[in-house]
Amino acid sequence: MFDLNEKISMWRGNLAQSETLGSSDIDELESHLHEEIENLTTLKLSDEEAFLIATHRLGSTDSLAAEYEKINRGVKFRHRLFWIATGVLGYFLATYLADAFSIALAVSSGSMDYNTGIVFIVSKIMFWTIVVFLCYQIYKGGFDNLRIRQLLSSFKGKCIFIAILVIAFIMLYCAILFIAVDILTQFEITKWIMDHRDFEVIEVFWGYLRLVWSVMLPALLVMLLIKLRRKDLSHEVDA
Amino acid sequence: MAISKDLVAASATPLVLSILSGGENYGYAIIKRVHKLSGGQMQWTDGMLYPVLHRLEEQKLIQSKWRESETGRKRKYYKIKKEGTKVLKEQQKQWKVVYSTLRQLWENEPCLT
Repeated sequence: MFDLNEKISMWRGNLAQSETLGSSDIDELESHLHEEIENLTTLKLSDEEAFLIATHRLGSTDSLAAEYEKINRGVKFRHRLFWIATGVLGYFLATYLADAFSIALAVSSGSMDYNTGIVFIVSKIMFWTIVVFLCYQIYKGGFDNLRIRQLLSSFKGKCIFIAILVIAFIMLYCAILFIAVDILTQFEITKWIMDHRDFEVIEVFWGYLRLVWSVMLPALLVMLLIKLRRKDLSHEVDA
Repeated sequence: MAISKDLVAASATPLVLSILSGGENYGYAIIKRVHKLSGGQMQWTDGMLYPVLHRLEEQKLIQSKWRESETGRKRKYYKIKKEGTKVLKEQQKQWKVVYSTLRQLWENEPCLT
């Protein structure tokens, strides 16, 4: 039995593999394909015949990819960058899992305080749950202009967006303030002499840097993924 | 008689701009229009029109917008911009020169048969 929708999604998949077509380009071609198939079926052709003729008229995957490559030079690069960023994020997730496992081991063997261990693990789980959730949304095709627009078009959506922004800003501000004050008091900048105590200070400073790095880098990578995805799907639909 | 590939490629820009100067339109309808006007002799491979449209959009001669059609399907509509109208006028002049030159040559040419 010929399943038209299945055939069309397979055809889409083939086009997507070429890397030179953005999903917006494929959507446009699919819209064309639907029109042509509808037109042909009114001429008493079966779905299968209409599909074969319509795809033939649109051109082969290779020739379409070659034509689009001339105008979409950036798309291939963005596509690769997207997967590189995903890979780096995956690496971070793997190191986090290893970290969490070693902390769990340290807690169970008694070499780490139980409460400290739990705080570490819970905070990391929370952070990575958010990261993984955002990645899932990106792969599902979320965060394109349309959805963000729809969200922002309602009053509730605007409130949520502003609330998130304010909370993020306050958190960032507190983090910077906390780190800055701590560093200033610990370093005692006016009495800057390099003795054994300063090495401890540098170690603490390094610890903070790593903390910021471990949070900021995944966050930046997620933002990069959203940006790469949004460009791909820049649809503007006026209902 | 099929029009040669080079000629089809060369005439794509003035064809698209001319059709869009009559009002906004979408890819499928543009192809059908050209097909009909040429009596089926100008046949694009359908998919090749879209890179042309995107190139014209990049050159800011036309602009596009996704919209829902009356059947509920999403369509990308294209509209000519001011700059596009200017380029179209310029191209019309050029094509008229080519056309009138060829016509004079062919009219003055003695019949070979």
